[in-house]
Amino acid sequence: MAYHDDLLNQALHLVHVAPSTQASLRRSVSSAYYAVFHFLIAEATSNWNNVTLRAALGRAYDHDTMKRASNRLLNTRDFPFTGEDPQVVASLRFVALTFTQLQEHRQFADYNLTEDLDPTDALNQVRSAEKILHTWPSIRSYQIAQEYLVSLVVKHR
Amino acid sequence: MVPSGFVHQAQLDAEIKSAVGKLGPEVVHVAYHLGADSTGDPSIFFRVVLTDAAAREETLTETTGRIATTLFNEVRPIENWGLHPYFNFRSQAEQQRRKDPERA
Repeated sequence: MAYHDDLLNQALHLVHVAPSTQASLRRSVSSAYYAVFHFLIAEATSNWNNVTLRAALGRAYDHDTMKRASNRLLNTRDFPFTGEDPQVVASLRFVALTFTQLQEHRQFADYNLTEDLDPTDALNQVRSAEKILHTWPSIRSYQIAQEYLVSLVVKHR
Repeated sequence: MVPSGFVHQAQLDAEIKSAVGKLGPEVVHVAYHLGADSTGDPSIFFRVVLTDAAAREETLTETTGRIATTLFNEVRPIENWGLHPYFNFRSQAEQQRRKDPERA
């Protein structure tokens, strides 16, 4: 099983622990984010022919660059995707938006103890991460999806 | 650069109220606040209270996705306001336990 699948399973397990604790809920959100983080990197580096070097190439990705690339894609003026399949565009924007949500919620889950994390919010984050992994195969063959993967590693200048 | 969202807050508030009016009966309340996200970028944080029925696991992501899409498409926070949107969801039962006045 791939590492990102393990992380997602861990997130699903933790978010269903009963009775829930702040520790189990927060770790579930963190695992869900990292499931998506490593999933997108695995998808991007799978284009590299030399299989043994894919993990090393994955080290080039960082959270901030991935977030900014995702934010840019959500800007419909900069990325109108004219002529593209609207369903593919909607799915790609869902991935980008959900990635940014997960990253911010991961920050809250790991570091911000000023208020409790709600079970509903944790469950929504975990299930949304799962939805990304289910959605991606339907769009991965499209050029705009592949361009998004490349943008995740390229610093915008 | 001052984000436009901090300059025209009355107009932003009117647009959000209009967008909230287009949400379904599964939404009990929507609050929002402006601030910086964890990387310092200007952001708008929506806090949505759902009915307990809408917060059921079987329909949760479909419901939250629909709400986020409506708010995103109606307000266009990135293009029109320079704000990145974040969405936080809570059930009505959770809200009653928390007594958080921001979402009352």
